[in-house]
Amino acid sequence: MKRKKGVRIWGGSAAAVLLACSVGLAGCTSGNGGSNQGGAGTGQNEQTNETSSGTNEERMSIDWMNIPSDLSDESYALNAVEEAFNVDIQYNDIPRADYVQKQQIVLTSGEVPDVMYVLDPNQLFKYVQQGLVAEVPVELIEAHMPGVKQALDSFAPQAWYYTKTDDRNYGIPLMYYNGQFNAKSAWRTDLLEEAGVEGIPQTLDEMEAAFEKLKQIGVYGMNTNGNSYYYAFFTIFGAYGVMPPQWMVKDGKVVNAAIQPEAREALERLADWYSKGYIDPEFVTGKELEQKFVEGKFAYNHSLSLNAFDESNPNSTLNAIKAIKPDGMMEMTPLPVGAEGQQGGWAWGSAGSIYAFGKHLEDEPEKMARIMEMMEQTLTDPETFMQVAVGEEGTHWEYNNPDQPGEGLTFIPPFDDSAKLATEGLKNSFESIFAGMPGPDVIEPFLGARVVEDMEQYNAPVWDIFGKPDVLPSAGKYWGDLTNLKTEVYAQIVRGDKTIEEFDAFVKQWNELGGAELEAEANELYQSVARQ
Amino acid sequence: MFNRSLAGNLEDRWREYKRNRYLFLLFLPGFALFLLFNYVPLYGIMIAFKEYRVTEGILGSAWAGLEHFNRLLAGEAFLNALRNTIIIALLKMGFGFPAPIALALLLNELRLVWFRRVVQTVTYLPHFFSWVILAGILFVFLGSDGAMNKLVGLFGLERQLWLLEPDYFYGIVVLTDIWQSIGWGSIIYFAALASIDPTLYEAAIADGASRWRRVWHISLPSMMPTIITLFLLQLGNFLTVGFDQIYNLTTATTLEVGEILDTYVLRRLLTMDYELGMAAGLFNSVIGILLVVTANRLVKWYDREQGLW
Amino acid sequence: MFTRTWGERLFDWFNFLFLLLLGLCTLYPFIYVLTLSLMTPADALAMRVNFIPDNPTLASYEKVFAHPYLWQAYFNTIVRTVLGVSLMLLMTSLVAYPLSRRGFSHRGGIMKLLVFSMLFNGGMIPMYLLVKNLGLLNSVWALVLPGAVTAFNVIIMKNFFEGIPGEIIEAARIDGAGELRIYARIILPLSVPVLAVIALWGAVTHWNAWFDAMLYMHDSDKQVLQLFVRRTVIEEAVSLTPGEELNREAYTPETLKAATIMIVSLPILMVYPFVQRFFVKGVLLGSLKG
Repeated sequence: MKRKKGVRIWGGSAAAVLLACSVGLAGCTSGNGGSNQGGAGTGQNEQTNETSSGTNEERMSIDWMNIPSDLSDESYALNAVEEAFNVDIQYNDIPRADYVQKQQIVLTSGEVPDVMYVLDPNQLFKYVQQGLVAEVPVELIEAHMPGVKQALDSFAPQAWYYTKTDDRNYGIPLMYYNGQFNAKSAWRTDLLEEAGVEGIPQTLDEMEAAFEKLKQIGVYGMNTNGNSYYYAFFTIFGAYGVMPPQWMVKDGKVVNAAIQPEAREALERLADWYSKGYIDPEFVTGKELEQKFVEGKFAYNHSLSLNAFDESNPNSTLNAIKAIKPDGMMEMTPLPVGAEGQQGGWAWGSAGSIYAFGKHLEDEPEKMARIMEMMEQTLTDPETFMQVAVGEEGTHWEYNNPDQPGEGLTFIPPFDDSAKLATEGLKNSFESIFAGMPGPDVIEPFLGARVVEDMEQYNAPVWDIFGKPDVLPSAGKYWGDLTNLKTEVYAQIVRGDKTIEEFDAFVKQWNELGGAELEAEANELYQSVARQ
Repeated sequence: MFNRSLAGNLEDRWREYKRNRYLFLLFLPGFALFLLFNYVPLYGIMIAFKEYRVTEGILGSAWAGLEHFNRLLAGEAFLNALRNTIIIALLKMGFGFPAPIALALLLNELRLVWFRRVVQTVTYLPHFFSWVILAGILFVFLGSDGAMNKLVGLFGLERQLWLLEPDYFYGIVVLTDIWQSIGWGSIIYFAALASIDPTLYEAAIADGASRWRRVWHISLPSMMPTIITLFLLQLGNFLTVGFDQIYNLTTATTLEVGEILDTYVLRRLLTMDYELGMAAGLFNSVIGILLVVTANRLVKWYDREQGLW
Repeated sequence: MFTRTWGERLFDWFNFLFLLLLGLCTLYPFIYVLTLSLMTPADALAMRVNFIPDNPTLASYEKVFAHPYLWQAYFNTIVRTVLGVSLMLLMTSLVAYPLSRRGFSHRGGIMKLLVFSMLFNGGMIPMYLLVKNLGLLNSVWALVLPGAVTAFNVIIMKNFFEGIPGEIIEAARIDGAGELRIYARIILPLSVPVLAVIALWGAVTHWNAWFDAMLYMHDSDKQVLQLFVRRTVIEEAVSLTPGEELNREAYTPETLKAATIMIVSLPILMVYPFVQRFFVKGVLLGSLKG
């Protein structure tokens, strides 16, 4: 009996599913025309164009592809922008982790939006090659975005490398405020004291002396993310005047820091330190740096955030240390100084990503101009910026000190949670999802003088002369292999798996794997810009 | 003469179709769905032989001949990646594939039903954690102060930096692969064991067959069709050895041994470089199909009833 | 049963111990993540995971649950899972049953087509275009139709169907049963273990899937649960934005990641014990004879 019942249920549910399936399918196909407008193709845009070119007052519809992915129709920023600029925005947002992949596929299938956020120059150049994005002459930017153009030229001049190829410009580069800072260094001063080190080591030699004493009490001197192509021992290299694998200018020529004799010297020293037991052998994994620092396994950490030092935050690194060791202490310190007084920390430079326009906007100049004007106003007028990118005073944020707006602002719960804030289309990093980050003169008042001061403390940023290596035409082809090679060989030399003499073989291999070709391209690019 | 036999053939066919018409009716909707989503997109394979231009579409783009394959197969780096991939693939075939079978058989021998269920459930848990998470856990577990080194210390052995040593890398890859997938993989074998007619066991016990003989003569043969099928299907993905796992377990010192075809291709995939990706995929497919066809023939040669077709 | 030899007893003990050990090893990551999810970020930093949190807290869970799209995403995932699994079971068994019958025409050819499809695929562009042209973008059908009939499931199911003794089918036919009746009344009930396996596989696949939703769904409120994990756990691992080191707000504490994983995975983890009862030996064929 029981069996039979089961059988009937099976047959019944199967039929039900089949029915639901066919009904749903039909409904879905017929209803598609309406539901699919978010990813509108070019055909629809032309229509919009026809209607909007007649009357200026008409609300312009803009198809927008962007990164933050928590937007809904009710999101504050979306409505604020639509209202402020009298436009309708068809928003197509994609999570960051998958942005590049989805953007490529969507573009590939012919759905080219009016405006799109492009993460990196190499993607932009490929879209240019494929004829997907519109040319944006610099003069046009100058005409519609004079303030932004000026800010870029003064604050982030390398940004133009990101959008120009073959002397034509294909987008609006963004400014990146945080790019001008390096990560903070700190020493565990309690451990230094325990080991009998007086004062905080400032130079490499002082560090070395301190490491030896720390070794006596069973603490490693330093640790780093050896698995990262740029963060491995970066402050030590900085003290030798190089920042592998950035492109740098040396004697009027562009060279890569990874293969310079200075890098070799730094490696020699690091290998010596490693053999003496000053460096945690697990630096190679790059895992659990923060935990080990908190546990007091090593004393010098060079990849900390500002918030790590925040005494008022119960979850800061500093307070985590104190939780397990009441007299534990860490102090922010200047980056180590080399024999010739050099110091430096990796920074990404103050140019960020790119906004590009769909190819079809070449035929819709008024739309392109309108979007540029929107961005200009957002990025240069603090009031507009506040309205569309920071939120509403009293709802999203409040001044730390209403009498002194210069002391910065704080987000009000629940908007102190960045996830919640994101659903409003706002960001606590002070960037507009529709225009990117403004220059320092607009941002800094929001941050507050104290935060800016903190960020500028012990700042010795070193960035690639091109900002991002992928501006070089063949970077996509070789850069992955080169950074891999650099990571591996550097780790091997430090660990003593390879002798320092093998550095020369590494240089040769680097050049053979495309390093030489990239160097030639880098010089060409550098010269061409210098000529202008 | 020729025409007549052709007509006769057609007639036979027709009769056959007619006899099977209800079966066809059952078969067609699902099969149409299958064809739609598995065969219609196959024209994309052409990308591997084209210079793909978005504006021209896949069909309209110019042919590029074997250029992308030259790009893929060039140089020693490819051979190194291929060698590593084959080593890992063989190890995973040799140890990873039988592990769930063994687990299913061992669990089947357990007398405590509740314990069997608990073990079954627990072994399947790691499948639900992505390799980013599992690798994070492993780096702690196998770290210098990790549980593994404490265990090793108990036996008076020297502590090791397990994940930094290229020599241990493949061993760790295979073991952690088993760790992650053994319970999940054994589910299908439980189902196979559950389908065995219990009277077979009863008869065997009555005949005085030992436990070992019952496993060997009843349990294992009953699982054999499933084992063979899964084995053949896995051969098809021979060169796919688990990118996520290897990528997340690799460190600066194991980059060389951890270089597999997937990481090799990924690093060379330029923006919108669908061509190279497709060429690599096609290379995997061709190796896979050669292995499957050969193995299927071997299986058939041994037992006509088995095999995929 | 009582005539176990000494060797068999020894084996039983070893077997028991071995499986216990294996169970502990595989339980480890679960316990690890669970503990982490119950810690405060500072505790997690200070002492790594030591299995019993000093100050257990549900704060991380509260934070994840507070996310405005979480429940919507839960709903979307449940819908796609239920719909996807039902469709998968129905369609797969309908394709597999005729293939398991010896008299069915072109069996060999179709099997080759199935296997071939597992080895070759046309990549993402044609697939995206197909889904788009079928008008399925932004619809749950884009998530359930493409995977409804996979060669792997068909082959596995066909194998099990073939294990059903032909005499039973013959007997039914002699009793006048049609194909649909044989399929629904004999084949399916006799194949509960394999149906359970396919259902479990399908449920887990649908539950864990994110790529298709990421690709085919353009609206935030159509996203699925796994994208939460993707965003909080994977995003940082694959693309740490330059400069984020400075701005710790952008980091997700490990505890929050752990809580997200727990919230997202627990429901699907609970499914298994329920499916297990279909694996109990012998209920099927045994009942057939009754």
